[in-house]
Amino acid sequence: MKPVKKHYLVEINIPNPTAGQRIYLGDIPELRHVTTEQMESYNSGILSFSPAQNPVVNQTGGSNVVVTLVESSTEDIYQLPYNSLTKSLNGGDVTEYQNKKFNLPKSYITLLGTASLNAGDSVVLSFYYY
Amino acid sequence: MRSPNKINDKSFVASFTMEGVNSAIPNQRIYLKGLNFLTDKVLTGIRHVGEFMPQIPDFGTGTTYNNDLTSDQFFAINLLQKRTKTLTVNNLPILSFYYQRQWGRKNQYTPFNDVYDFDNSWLEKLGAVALTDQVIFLEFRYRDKPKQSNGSYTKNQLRY
Repeated sequence: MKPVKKHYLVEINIPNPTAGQRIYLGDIPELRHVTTEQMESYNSGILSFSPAQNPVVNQTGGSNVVVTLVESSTEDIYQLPYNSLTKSLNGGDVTEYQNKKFNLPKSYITLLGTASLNAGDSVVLSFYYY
Repeated sequence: MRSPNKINDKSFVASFTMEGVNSAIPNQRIYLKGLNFLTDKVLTGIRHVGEFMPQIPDFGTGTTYNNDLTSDQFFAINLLQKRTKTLTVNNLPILSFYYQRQWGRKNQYTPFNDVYDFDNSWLEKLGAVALTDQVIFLEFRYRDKPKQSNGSYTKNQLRY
């Protein structure tokens, strides 16, 4: 893992889970025009609640979620499984990127199914950036 | 002995007790009391050591504080960079440190390389839960800032 320069925890709330649903990450001022170096995701066993006090998805719920990250206008990171970003499920690996300036308002998660996803749950992503 | 345990830097294990953690208060903060000496140091790593220290002794307070990993999953750390006075580490879940230690291949510490204002940094409780008498143990690894012969720092030395 590279030394942490800056970190921001991004929450994406799932108000009403539906298979095939797409939820955008939205504009996050702190993450405009920054370069993302590393990413991490969490389940309820690692972080129970989000900063907005919503329950975090459990591991089964996380397996229904894929993440698409857009750089400029292209989907450079397409449908990356949410659980593949969880350190504890990947032998300690933290996903690293090189020179990626993500456009978060155009980036989104997709729900492949709804098993173990409850209304009001959140997925949370760590952005390590500079 | 495996090399990841070799420590060239200094190390300080801090305990954070949940004396007033109240279910009614969302986003409750526990400031990193007792760590302000680190404000003059370069933080080089953080490690979670909770399960090695299941509890701290009763120092005559009448209260025994216990560590339980399941309470640690409600907390994230927020660190203010000293140079810019901005919150550069926002809500990093502390069990991320635990899994870095458990699984990290290169080192057991989550690596940092910056000077933080520990007077104004805090742990944040996420979730409407009361965790009275729980304690969190984190090990902070640090080194002294290099100085010039006249005792001051150059611009580059401050730019960690």
